[in-house]
Amino acid sequence: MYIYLLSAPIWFSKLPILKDYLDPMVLDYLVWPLVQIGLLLFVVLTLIAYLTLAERKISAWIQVRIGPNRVGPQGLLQPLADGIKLLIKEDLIPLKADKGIFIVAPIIAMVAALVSLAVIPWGAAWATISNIDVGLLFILAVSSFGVLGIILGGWASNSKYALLGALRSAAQMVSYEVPMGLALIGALMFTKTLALQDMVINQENLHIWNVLFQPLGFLIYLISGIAETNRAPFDLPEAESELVAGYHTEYSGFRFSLFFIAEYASMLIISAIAVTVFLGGWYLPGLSYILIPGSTLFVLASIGVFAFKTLVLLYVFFWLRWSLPRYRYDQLMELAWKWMIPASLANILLTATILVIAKEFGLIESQGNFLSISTAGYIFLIGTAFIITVPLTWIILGQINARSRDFNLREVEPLPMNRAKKNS
Amino acid sequence: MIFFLQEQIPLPNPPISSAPPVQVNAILTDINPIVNYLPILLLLIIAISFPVVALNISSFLRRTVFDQAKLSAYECGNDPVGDARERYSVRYYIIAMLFLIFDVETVFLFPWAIIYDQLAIFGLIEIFIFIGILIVGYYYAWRKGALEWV
Amino acid sequence: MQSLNLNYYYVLPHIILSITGIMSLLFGAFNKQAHRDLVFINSAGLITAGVSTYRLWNLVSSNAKDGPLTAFSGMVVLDHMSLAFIFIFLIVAFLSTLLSLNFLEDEDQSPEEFNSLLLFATVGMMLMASAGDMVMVFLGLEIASIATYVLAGYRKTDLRSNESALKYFILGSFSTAFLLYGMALVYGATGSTNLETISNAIKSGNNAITAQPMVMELLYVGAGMLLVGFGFKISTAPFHVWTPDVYQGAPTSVTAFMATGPKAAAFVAFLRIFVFTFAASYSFQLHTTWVNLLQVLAILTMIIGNIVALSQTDIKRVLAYSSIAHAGYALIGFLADDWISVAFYMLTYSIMNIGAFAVVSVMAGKGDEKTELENWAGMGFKSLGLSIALLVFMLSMAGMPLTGGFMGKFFIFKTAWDKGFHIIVIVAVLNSAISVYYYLRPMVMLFFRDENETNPTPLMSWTTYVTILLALAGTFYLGIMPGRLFSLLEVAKDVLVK
Repeated sequence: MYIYLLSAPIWFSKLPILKDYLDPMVLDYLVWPLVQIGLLLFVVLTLIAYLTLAERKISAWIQVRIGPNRVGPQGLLQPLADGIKLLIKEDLIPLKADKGIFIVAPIIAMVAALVSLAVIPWGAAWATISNIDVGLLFILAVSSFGVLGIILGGWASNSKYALLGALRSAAQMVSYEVPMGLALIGALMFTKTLALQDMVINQENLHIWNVLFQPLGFLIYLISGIAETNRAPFDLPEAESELVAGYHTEYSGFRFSLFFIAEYASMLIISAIAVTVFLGGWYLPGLSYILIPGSTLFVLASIGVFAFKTLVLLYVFFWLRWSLPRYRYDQLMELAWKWMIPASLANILLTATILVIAKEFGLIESQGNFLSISTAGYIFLIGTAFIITVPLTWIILGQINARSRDFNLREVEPLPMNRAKKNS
Repeated sequence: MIFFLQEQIPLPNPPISSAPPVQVNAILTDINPIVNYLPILLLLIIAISFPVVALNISSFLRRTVFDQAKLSAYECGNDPVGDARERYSVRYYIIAMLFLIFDVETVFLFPWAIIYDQLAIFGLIEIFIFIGILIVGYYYAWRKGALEWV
Repeated sequence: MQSLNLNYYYVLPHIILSITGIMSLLFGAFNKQAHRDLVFINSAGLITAGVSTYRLWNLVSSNAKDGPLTAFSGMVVLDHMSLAFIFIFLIVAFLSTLLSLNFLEDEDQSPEEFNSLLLFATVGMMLMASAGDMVMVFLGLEIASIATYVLAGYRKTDLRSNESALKYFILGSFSTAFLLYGMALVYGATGSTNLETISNAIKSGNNAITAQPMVMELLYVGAGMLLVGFGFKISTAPFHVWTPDVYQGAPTSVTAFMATGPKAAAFVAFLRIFVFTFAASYSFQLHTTWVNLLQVLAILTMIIGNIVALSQTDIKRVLAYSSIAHAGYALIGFLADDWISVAFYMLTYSIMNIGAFAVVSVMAGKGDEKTELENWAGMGFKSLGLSIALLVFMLSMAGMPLTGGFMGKFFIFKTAWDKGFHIIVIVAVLNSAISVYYYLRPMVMLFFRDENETNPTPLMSWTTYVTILLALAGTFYLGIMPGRLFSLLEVAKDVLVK
C-alpha cells in the first residue's frame, strides 16, 4: 500500500539540537507539525483580525468614506485595539440560559473551523500540515460541525432572536451544503483523488486549472460557499433589521469573538478549497521553470501564489457584500433547492457524459491515479464545458422555474391572478 | 436482456503514485496510514485549548458587575415574555429530512467520481439510474410543496 | 469468494415492483383523484412481477441440479422457497391494493403514497424471501417495516391510527435491534454474514475467518437474539403484546396487509436462518436447542392467542389474537423442518385473513367506526352475502374441512406427527377446537341478536367485492383441490434436497 509520509524540510531536520537528540519519526510527526501549527494559527488569526479591518476599509472605499483611521497609522492597529476591547469586556451568561451548552457552543464553532485548516495545502511540499487521503471529505465533515455550534448557541441562549437566528442559520447551511458537495463532484472526476495536495499536483500534471473544465461547478461552489458562511447577500441569520444579531444575540465579550473568528475562518476555508479544487491551488503556470521545484524558495513562492488567489476570493466576498441587497428568506431557500441543486445535478450528468464521449474518442486516457489528455481533448473538454454545459443547464433551470415569482431567466406572461390584481 | 444487465464491474487498477518525490514523499511502507492524522489531533488539541486559555485570561481582566436586567434575554428592551423554546415551523424539519437524503447521496457520489474514468460507460449508466431515482424523489418533493417556504 | 455477479435478471420482480412504485408515486403527483388509475397501475406491475417470478421458478426447476441460483456475491439466493413466498407476497399485495381503494376513496386519502408504500413494502418482503445474507434479511426487513409503519398511521387525523403507528414503530424498532444484535453475535461466532458460509462454519465448527474453533456461547446467544427478533415480527407469545393494539388502530385494509404480508416475510426469513442455516444435519446441539425452545414458544403462542381471543369484544382484536394463534400453528411446521407445509399454511392464512378483513372493513363502515361486535347485532340478514362470506372465512380459520384452513392445518399437523412431535400436535388440535367458539361469535351477533339501532346497509365498491370473491374462491380452491398446488411444491422439495 502506498501512503504519503509526512516529512520536515531538510533544513529543519538539520537544525543542531533536533538532529542530535530526536528520533526522525518524532521529528516528522510531532515537532515539525507543532511548528507548522504554531505558525499557521498565528498567521491565520492575525489574518482574520486584519480581515475585519480590510472589510471595513473596503466598505469605506466602496462607499467613498475613509474608514477607521484613528488607531495607529491608517488605522492599522485597529484589530489589536478591538481584540483587547473584547478581552476585557464583561462576560454575560443570561440567567435562563443553558449554561454548559452556552459555554461550549462557541468553542465548537471555532474548533470546527480551525481544524479544517490542517489539511489545506497552503503550498508545495512541506507547506501542508497533513495530506490525508480523504482530505476533501474530512473538510466537509468537520466544517458541518460548525452548524452544531451555531444551533447549540442559539438554543442555549433561550432568547427568541437567538433561537430563530440559529434555526434559520442551520436550515440555510444544510441547504447550501448539498449543492456545495455536488459541485465538487465534477472537479473530482478530473483530479481523481480526495487528498487535497494530490489534487493540486494532478492539476499541475495536466497544466490546467479545473475551473476551465468546470466553470459551472465553480460558480455553484462559490455561491453556495458564500451562503454557507452566512455572508451577504445571504446573511439572513444575522439580519440586523429582523433578528438583531441572530444566533449570537446573547453572546458578549470574548465568547462573541469566538463566533466571529469561526465565521471568518470558515470564509477562509471556503476560499481555500475553491482555490485548491478549482483554481489550481499553489500551481501557477511557469513557476516551476523559474524556480527549482522542491526548493525552499519554490515552496515560499507557492505559498505566495496560494495566498494571493485566496485573498482575491476573499475580496470577492467583501465586494459582494457591499454590492448586493439581502435576499428574502424564501428566496434564499428557493435559490438553494430550485436552482443550485438542479444545476449541480445537471453539471454532474453532463460532465460525466462529456467525459465518456471524450474517452470513447480516445481524447483522454486514464493512467491509474490521473488522466492524460491530448491537445484535442483539452479543446473538446473546455469547449463543451462552456458551449454545452453552461447554456444547457441555463435552459433547464429556466424551464423548471418558469413560473417562479422571484427569479426568472426570461420574461413570462404574468399569471392570470396577478394580471387581475394589477388591473384592479 | 439489455447488455448491462449481466455486466461485471470493472475493478479499478491499483493506485499508482503520481506524486513526484520532491513534493510529497510517497514511500512504500507498512506504517499505518492513521499516523497522518496525528498532526490533525495536535491541531485539535491546540484549537480547543486556545479559547479555553483566552477565556481564562480574560476572566482576570474583565469587570463583573451583573444585575437582573442585564442577565435577562434581549427582547428590544422589554421584559422577556415567556420561554423562547416554543414550537417552530415544520418547514425546518422537512428541510432537515431532505438534507439527509441529499447529503447521503452526495457522499455516495464521491467514490464514484474518483474512479469514474475507469468505469466509463458502465459508470455513466449507473449514475444516470442513481441520479434518476434521486430526481424522481426530488420532483415528488417539489410537486408536494416541500420546497416552498411560504 | 466469487466475483460480484450483477445478475439483474434474478431480481427482476423486485425491480419491476420498485419501478411500478415510483411510477405510481409520480402518477399521483401529476394527477389529482387518481385512485382508480393507480389500482390499475399497481395491478399491472404486480401481474408483470408475477409472470417474471413464474419464469424464474421454471429457471430454478431446470437448474435444480446445481442448487439454488445466487447473484450479487451470494446476497440474493433464488430457490423454490423464496419464489413460493414471493408468490404469496404478490397475491397479498394484489388483494390489498384492490381492498384499499374503498378506504382511500371514501375517506379522501391521497392514494399515490399508499399504493407506492404498499409496493415498496412488498419489495422489502421479497428481498427478505430471496436473501442469502443476513445483511440482506435486515435490509429487506427494514424496507418492509418502515413502509408498514407509515401505512399503519395512514389515517393522519385519527388518534387510534396514530397510536397504532407509534406502537408499531417503537416495538418494531426494538425488535429489529434484537435481530441486529443477534446477527452481529452470529457473525462474531462464525465470521461471516453469508448464510451458506455460516452453515458451513457451523458444520465444521470453525470460524470462517480465523479457522479457529468458534465460540459456541456467542452463537447460542446470537441465535437466541434472532429468535426474539423474529418472535416479535411474527408475534409469538411472550412478544405478541403489540399485535392487538396495532391491528385494531390501523385502517382495516392496512391491517389486512400487515397481518399477512410482513408476517409471511418474517416467517420466510425465520425459515431461511433457522431451518436452513442452523439445520439439523449440521449442528445437532444447536438444532435441538432451538427446536425445544420453539416448541415451548409455539404451545404458549397457541394457548395465549386462543384463550385471550375468547374474551375480546372488538372484531379486529379477535382477528389479531387469532393471527397470534395461527403463528403458533405455523411454527409447528418449523419443528418438522418442513418449509412446504409452512408456505402452504401462510398462503391459506393470507387469503382467508384478507377476506375476513375485507368483510370487516365493509361492515365497520367509513372510518372503521363499528368494529365492536355489539354494533353488528342483527346485521346478518341485511347484508346476507357479506355475512356468509365472513362465515366461510371464520370457519376456514377454525379449520373446517373443505376450506383452505383445514388443509393448511392438516399438512402441518401431519408432517409434525410423522416426525414424532405428538404432544404439540395434540395441543394444537385442542386449540383449534377452542377457537371455534370465538370464530362463531360474530355469527351469533349477526344472525341471532335483535338490531339495537338502525344501521344502514353497508356499501362497498366493486374492488372490495372482487377482493372478497377472490378470497372466497381461493379459500375453497385450496380446501377442495389443493392437490395440484401441493404436488408442485412436493416436486420442489425433491429438488431442494441435494
